[in-house]
Amino acid sequence: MKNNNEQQMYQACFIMIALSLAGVLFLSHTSYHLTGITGNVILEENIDKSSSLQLSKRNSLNQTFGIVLNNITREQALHALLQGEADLEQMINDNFSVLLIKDTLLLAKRSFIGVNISGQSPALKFIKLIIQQEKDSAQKKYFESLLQTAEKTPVYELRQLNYPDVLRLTQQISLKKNQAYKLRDMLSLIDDKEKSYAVDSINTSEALPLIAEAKKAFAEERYDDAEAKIDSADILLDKASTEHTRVAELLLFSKNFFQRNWLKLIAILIILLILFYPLIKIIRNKYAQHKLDRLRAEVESLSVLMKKTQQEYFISKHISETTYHLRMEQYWRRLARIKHAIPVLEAIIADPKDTNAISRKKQEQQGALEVKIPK
Amino acid sequence: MITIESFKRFNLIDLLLIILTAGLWFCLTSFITHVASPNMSYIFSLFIAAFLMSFTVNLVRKAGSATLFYLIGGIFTYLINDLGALRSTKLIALLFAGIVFETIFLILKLELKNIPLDIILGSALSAATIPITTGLLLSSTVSYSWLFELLNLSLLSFFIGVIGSVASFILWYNLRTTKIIMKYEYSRH
Repeated sequence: MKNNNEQQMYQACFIMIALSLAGVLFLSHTSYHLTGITGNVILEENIDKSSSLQLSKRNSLNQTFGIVLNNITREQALHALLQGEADLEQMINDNFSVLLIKDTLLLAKRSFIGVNISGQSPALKFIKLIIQQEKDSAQKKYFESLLQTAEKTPVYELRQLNYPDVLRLTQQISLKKNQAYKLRDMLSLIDDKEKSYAVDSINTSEALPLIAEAKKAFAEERYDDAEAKIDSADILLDKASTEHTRVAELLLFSKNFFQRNWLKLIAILIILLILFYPLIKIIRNKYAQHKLDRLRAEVESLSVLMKKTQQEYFISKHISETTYHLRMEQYWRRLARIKHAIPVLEAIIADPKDTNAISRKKQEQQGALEVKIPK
Repeated sequence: MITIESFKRFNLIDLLLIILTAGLWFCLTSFITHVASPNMSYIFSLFIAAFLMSFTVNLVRKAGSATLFYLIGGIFTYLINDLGALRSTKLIALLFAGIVFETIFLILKLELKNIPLDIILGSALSAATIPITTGLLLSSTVSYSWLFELLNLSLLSFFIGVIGSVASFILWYNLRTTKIIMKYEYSRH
């Protein structure tokens, strides 16, 4: 019967297990979001909440200006431009080559500023208005730079006012940015892979030129080309690794069992020795105990036999003197052997750490008489 | 307050016990990685690791036993991809998890209805550090870009750690008065 405290302990344990199990089930639930064991606590809708809030603010601004082109408002196009600028800045900070991105962004800006059918840029008025109203100095600076771009753009480079194009170009920038980051990681991973294979003496010579070409393409912003080269290099590295494993296995099987597994065999032997040492000790003790019991029984039977022989010779006179002496000599010899063996067996059985037992043994060995020296 | 009484020398029998449990971890985890999917094998391997580690700590009750268990287990499972990393990365992640456990075990001496909360919390937090440390060791950039996923994995590991350590405590509680455990406890003194 469990006491109250124990019951409460079990209850607490099961509550903890149940709560944790619920947590595990929630986190590893894969059927709904298909994200595996990673990605069920912070869901996409949580991340998107902040961006949707910003979008609603922008929509109210659009209502203020009321300018919409192909279902895309000027405010949305401006937001896309700002996002493009942020992407560019991030890439510059992370030391990426940004020539292509800059060109794309310039095109996007020109599409935003644009000229309409009458040859006038409606965005200029809008930018000037924003510069007047904007309080944030950084934002104000950006709009001024936009104004400068508009003023510096030669007439032959002016583009038609096209907000969908602004969105398309800025999305292209965003995609290129993501691709650049992904490629940087991929390059680093393929580099590491090549180095680790080279350390393991795998022939990576075929993949090396491809990796170099991928790096060059990456530096020159030819991202698609770089990705293709990395993929090819990866396939070549995998091939080289498979080939190396195949050759290594062939070499391994060419050796005999002991040559192949000498290290494992030694390790197993050491582990077995460590694990079986206490067992061997127990078996040895049991065997010694058994032998000791047998010898003690033999001592007793010898003493009975000796008594019987003495009776036969001295009392009933059934045996001759020679027979008596022969028998007694044999018995004494056997007894002497047994008395030599018994202390050895006792020492094996006794625990060397048991100091009390040792002192007791010493006292026993002192004999019946003890000489006391008077003071 | 650090509990000084936990700092004791390891006997041969303590070391044998740790090697034995680490060996058991190796056997079970090799079997699981062969039969289960990567997700399931991660969950079960971590559960087994937390379970056996807590059981070892409950039995040995000495500072350093968890780190020793993780390290020996890490050496045994050096080439098994059960916790998301291999070789030295795995060893470093396990060493760090062990250090986290020891810190909590030594500082936080807390019991609730006989339940050793220090061991449970230590196991859970040390399990939670494994994916983070592994992620950071493999690639800090990738870890940063997969931050939410890493956080999820860490939380999942935390819960697995709790389940493993509570289950092992229940087992130890029911076995603690058996002849073999008593013999082990008193053979050390």
